[in-house]
Amino acid sequence: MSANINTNSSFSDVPLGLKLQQTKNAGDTSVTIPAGIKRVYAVCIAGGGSGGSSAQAGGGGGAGGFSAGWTYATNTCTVGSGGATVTGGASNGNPGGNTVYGMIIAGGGAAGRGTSTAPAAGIMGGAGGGGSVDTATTRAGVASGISYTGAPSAAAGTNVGYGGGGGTGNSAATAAPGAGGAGVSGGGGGGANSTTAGNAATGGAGGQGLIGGGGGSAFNSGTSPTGITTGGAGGAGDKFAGGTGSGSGTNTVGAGGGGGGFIAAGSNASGNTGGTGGNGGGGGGGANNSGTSGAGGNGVLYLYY
Amino acid sequence: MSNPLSKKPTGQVSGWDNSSSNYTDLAQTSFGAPYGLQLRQTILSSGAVTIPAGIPFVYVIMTGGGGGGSNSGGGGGGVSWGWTVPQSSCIIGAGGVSGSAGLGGYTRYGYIIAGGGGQGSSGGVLGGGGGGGNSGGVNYYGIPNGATPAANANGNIGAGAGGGGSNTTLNGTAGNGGSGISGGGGGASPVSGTGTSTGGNGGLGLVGGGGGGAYTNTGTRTGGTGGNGLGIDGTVYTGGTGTTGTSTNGAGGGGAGIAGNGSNASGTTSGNGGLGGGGAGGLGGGGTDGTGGAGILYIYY
Repeated sequence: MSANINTNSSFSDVPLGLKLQQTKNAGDTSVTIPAGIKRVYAVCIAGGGSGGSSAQAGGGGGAGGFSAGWTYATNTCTVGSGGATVTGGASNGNPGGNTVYGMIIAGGGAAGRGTSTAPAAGIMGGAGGGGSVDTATTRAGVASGISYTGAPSAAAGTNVGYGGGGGTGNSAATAAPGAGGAGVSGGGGGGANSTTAGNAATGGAGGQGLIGGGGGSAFNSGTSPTGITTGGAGGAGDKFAGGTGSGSGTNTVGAGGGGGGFIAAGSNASGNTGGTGGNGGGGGGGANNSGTSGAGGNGVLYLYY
Repeated sequence: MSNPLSKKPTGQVSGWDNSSSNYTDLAQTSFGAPYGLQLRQTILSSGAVTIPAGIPFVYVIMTGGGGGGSNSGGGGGGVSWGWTVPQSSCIIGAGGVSGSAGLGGYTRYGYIIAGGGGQGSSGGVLGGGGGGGNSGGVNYYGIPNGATPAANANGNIGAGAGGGGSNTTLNGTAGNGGSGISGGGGGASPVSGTGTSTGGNGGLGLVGGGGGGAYTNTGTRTGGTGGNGLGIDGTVYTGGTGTTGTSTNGAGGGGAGIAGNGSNASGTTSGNGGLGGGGAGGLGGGGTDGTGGAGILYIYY
């Protein structure tokens, strides 16, 4: 008997009629698929990058990548954790972990910047991390990664992409840092340093997306500074908001908020401590004044069949 | 026909081990959609989206905003398609306008995203066609772009096609925008002297690029025609016409979008891009730039 590929849906690649059957969280490594199910439709979200910590203004972390598609069923998986926090200034954040199931893979968001050495760019759809200001020097953010589908990387800066680019740090009389680029996964915002004592400084906001990037932090390096330093807000996710940056003070506050994740909102920053990225890949907020950065949100794996 | 999604399969519907008892033969309902799906929503502006409960995936086709006019034509907005998890909000890209904001805006729903067409001074993004003289963008699926053209050369084919090269020769013609999924903008013709000057036509695609403008010369100025587009139901949308005159006019027509015709140029004012990402035409001497067509989002389930 011959088959007609135009009328037989078993020849198509549509994920119709499927139900969400399993959710795997960061650290899970095993999967049990019922007998008879030869392939499944997997949605992979990688961990978000953590923010950077600078003696002045660290950048926000990039949101984790998002990939989806059919794969053969396997009994193992990797679900990425969010990038871990860093503290004490002069530290780049940590990239998020990758999430992998069968032939579907999503890359972690890039770390936020805090030093003269740029962190690695995002990979496999992960967004770029925000740039910083350290030792009175402006630092660029980093690029995002090429996506699972082949969508191109977005260059560093406020550039749209599947994963947005990381915003640029800025040090000026009145700082004007770059926001993270928008996309499916938003880039981290850049750090801000105002050099005139009475001028305010506000970190770059995290890029918005299905998953939001972390906000950059803020500092004032003027003599006897009085300008208000406010951290950039975490980028909004489609489902959950980003956290707010901390403000209403000078240099004792100014950390960036965490980006909204696929599963939960990003946390607000507090003092010099950046907000944690929302669960489901949100980027962590950057830390100012040698504070502790926000961790990236953990990744997740959804299996449909 | 009943809604195929309302059927409750007894096992895996799509798979290598699919039982014939678990599927229903489905009729094609749309030019661009997978079998069995119906176009349920057409969205023209950013904001809320409501998907009925129990729909785990939807299929979308979208375009970014078309590039704004410059002296050369704007590129068509990028086109992306595919399955995504439903979300309660979307972003629809605005058409580019004159000046630094000339790049068309991006459109995104869930994890499908399409970039904007380029303006005269910029390349396209995420599948967007390049403005005249510029490259197009690699698209969502990694399909290559059209590269930057040489002077007077036609634009290069690509997912986001390249714009046409500018004309550098009196009595010459600028390059046409490249054809692709999203067409490139036509090249400008800024030559001086006594003689003719002709802008390039916009490239063809699902979304068309805008025609290039002609100006400066003393003599006949002819703006390029906008490129045609193709709608999701197979409708051919047409690009707008350019204007012609002696030492005046010379504006390019707007490119067609995936959902509407480009407008004709008028005097030295270039045409607007059609709905669904059409690129704007390039202006004539001393004229006004057209605006790129806004993006659009189709949702099937």
